Amino acid sequence: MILEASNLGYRPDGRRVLHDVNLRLTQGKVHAVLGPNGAGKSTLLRLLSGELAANSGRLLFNGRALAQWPARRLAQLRAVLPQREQLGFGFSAEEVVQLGRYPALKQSAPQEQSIIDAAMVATATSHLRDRRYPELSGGERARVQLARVLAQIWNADAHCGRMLLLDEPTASLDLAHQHYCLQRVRQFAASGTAVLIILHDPNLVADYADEVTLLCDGEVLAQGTPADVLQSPTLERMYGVPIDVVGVAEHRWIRVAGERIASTDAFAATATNSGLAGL
Amino acid sequence: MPSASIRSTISLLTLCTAIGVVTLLALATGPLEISLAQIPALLHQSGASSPDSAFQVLALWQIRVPRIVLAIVVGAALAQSGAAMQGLMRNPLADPGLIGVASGAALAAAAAIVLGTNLMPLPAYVSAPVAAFGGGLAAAYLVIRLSSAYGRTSVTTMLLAGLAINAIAGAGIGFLAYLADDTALRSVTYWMFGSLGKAGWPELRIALPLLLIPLLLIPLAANPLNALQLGEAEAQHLGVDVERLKRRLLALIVIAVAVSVSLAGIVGFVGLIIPHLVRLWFGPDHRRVLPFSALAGSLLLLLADTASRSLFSPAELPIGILTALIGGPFFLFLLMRQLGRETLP
Repeated sequence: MILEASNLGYRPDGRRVLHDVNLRLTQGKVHAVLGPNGAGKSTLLRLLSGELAANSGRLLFNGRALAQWPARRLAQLRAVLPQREQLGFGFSAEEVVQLGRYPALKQSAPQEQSIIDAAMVATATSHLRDRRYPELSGGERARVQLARVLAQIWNADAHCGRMLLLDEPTASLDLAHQHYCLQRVRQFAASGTAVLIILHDPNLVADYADEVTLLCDGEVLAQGTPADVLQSPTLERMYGVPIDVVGVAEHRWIRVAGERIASTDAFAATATNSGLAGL
Repeated sequence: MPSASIRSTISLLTLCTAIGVVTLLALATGPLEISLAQIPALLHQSGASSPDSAFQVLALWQIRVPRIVLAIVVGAALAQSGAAMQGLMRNPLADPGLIGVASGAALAAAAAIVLGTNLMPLPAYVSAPVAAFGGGLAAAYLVIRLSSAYGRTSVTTMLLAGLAINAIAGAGIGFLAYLADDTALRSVTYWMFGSLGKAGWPELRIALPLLLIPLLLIPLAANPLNALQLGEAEAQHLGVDVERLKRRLLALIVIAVAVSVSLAGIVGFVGLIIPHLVRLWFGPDHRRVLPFSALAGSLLLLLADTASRSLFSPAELPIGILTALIGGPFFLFLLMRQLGRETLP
């Protein structure tokens, strides 16, 4: 068990944002968090990363309360990819990836370089190496940031319990890069890392996650393997629209039901109920 | 990267040579005629061989050398603290002048000059620098307190609070100038526009060690400052103690700026122009930006001071007017380029 969150609650100014969340991340497994906008996914990630302090509950990283970890040691084992990114100065893409190596116990210069190269290959960013980061496209920047967090814990001893927290790493990636990067994240997990990943596409969750937590209104709606959890009744309850889960060979394909979504009465009805009436 | 280190070495040699050459020029510049050829002999001469050369030795050691030392350390301190400030604020347009340190110091100095003779038993040349240092610290403390809540420091609030402090200090200085008699007014003008001609060895002896502290310690923060560019939360995730970094750097910046203003008055824009030029040349890596800003700042202030002494010789143009004349348009140019590119967050 690398990360163990029990009964986490977060109530800033008395507003209930997260309530009674239980979550376990294990080595080698990719754990996805899925949920509608505003469900509290990013807040959950910020709690799990220690950026925000929970109002209630317990949070253990490798058996020790997260808040008690020395910052540097924690950063050697755990990397966090936030959703927003901001960089005012014109660092090159390679320099941004190098920044990820800040907390690491430094290797020799050639070894450091090979880690940076490998992280950039894993995110298909090698060709962007010398480009100025602020001039890259949104998707390119997202991949450079992913390379940075991979590089951060690239050579950390897997026995010590590595962890990767990713907030929508695929949000601005094209189809091919989504799959390329998620495959690499899976490989990274397989090398002995616990991965938590916030995703918006249930199909990507079905393809790449070992476990999934459905988060709705700040509470866990369901938790388990994607095959168990990603069923149309649960998804319909979560998103408030009719959803088909279609079996194609051994594969399952999740989509919003109906020919053209806006023309379906059923959709319109549920959509009205869930506040999507403007669609 | 070997190419970067070659570039650093060449730049280091070039800057040091340039500082050396300008130092020689500065030694030979002034109302009292001293030629370049005489300088080595005069500097080595302890006793005087003639009344004439005794006067020259005195001019060199008591006036020009301290002035050159002052230009080198104040230029370095202002430029490097500017670079650190920009890194801290993650904004290439930030300047230590923005958080009110410089204007707070100038206000206190003006108060000491205009009101001081009645309030303090000290002569103005002692009370003004002391007051400037205190005023700079007080303004910085006020701005930092205003912008810190719940143990965090908000950069935006700090800039806005600095703006307010600048306005208040400006009004205060204006009022004092209104009250002042002619002599005091001249002194107040010197604090407002800066001059390297007021401080001699006694002031330098106290100020040099004080300026060396930030000059030597700020570059040590280069790596965490680089990490901070990713964002505060991101730097925290990389193991940087962001609040501690901010507190330490702010303290060092305030010392550098307050001591500089107490020695030389307000010399604007050095902290803005130099780091920007250094970044154009080396890229944004603070491991290079911080030390090279210090060197280039020394060179710029030395050049500007020599120019301010020779342009209207024997009269002296306040050096702050010269740096503002170059720096103001430069700042506008930067601003327009930033707006065109929209790379600012």
